Amino acid sequence: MKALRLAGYLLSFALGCPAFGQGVPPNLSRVLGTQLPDVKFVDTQGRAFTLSELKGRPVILSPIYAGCPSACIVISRSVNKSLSRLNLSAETYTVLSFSFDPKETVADMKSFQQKHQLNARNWRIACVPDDEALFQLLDAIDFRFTYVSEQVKDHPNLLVFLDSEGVIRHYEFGLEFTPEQLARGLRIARGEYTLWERVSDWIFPIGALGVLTTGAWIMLTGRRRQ
Amino acid sequence: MDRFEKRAMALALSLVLMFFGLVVYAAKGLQADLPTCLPNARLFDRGRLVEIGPNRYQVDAVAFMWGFDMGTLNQIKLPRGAVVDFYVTSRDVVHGYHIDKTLVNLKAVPGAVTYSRVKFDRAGEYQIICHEYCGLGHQNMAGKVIVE
Repeated sequence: MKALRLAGYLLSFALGCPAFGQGVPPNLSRVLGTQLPDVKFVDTQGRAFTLSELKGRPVILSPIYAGCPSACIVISRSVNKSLSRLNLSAETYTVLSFSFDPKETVADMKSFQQKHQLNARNWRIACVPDDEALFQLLDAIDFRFTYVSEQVKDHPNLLVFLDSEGVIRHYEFGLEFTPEQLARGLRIARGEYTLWERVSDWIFPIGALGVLTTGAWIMLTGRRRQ
Repeated sequence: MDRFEKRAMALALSLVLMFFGLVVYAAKGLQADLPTCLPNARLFDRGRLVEIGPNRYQVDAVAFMWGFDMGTLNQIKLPRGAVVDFYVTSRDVVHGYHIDKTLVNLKAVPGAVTYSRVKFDRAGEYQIICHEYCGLGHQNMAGKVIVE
């Protein structure tokens, strides 16, 4: 088994995967453009709120868990740092970090927040008290975590950007999120796309159409020559 | 162009179009989850069945010559409506892991983990078979998911 594990590590590095345990990536073609369910949260100040109450400005969703030994700490600290660097006005965004582990409580998240000094403006750190609602939300953003043990869950490292109506517009992946990544996500959440961002989804259908048109053209011209 | 050649091309193009349409229908219409290989998944060598949420389960399945370890040997029980994440690997050689009447159709490869999610809406027995020839006992390598 050790030899197999070593082979797995080597293969992973060869494929460019820097770390094990990143879980199952979301299917973006399925989730982009979908409306999130109106889930109820309770934040670390004890305030209950729903997603619909956050409408009116873009929201950055960050699924994490307080017991995470590594990735969630790096993600949250980098978001904290990048938000301070960006120095955006308070009306332009909300960040919502929530625990995807149904066994965690608001107290766990509060302790996580205090321990890592996550205190950027407009940042709400919360839990979803109802487990059914939590999994509805996780399904809506196609976030799939892998249970390793009571303490450890493998998960994709990502941020989800919602527009002012609560519709999923963009994902950013990585461990350390730079100010540029946050600015790009918020720009897309405001509906400001670059030309490439507008056309990139159509490259494959256009290519496929080109192949079919070429095939049809060869057949038609072949028939005429005959 | 020869007329038979033309017919062959027309047939090939129609098939490509049909398969493309079916792929789009499976992905968008049926919301099918494609089986996935997880190159960066954490490896495991013991099977288990874990409840991770309300009617949400995770099955770590280890295929071996000639059976499936899923915490229990060759058989698991689940409630109706369960959403299950299957993580599959092998302890020895390459095996198959196909659950009848579902889209779970995975290879069990030593040193790698494959993944699929399925929701069991109907009660009944779902046969699990190894559909990759794996040695003398291959024909006996089967299990089942019992949904109650």
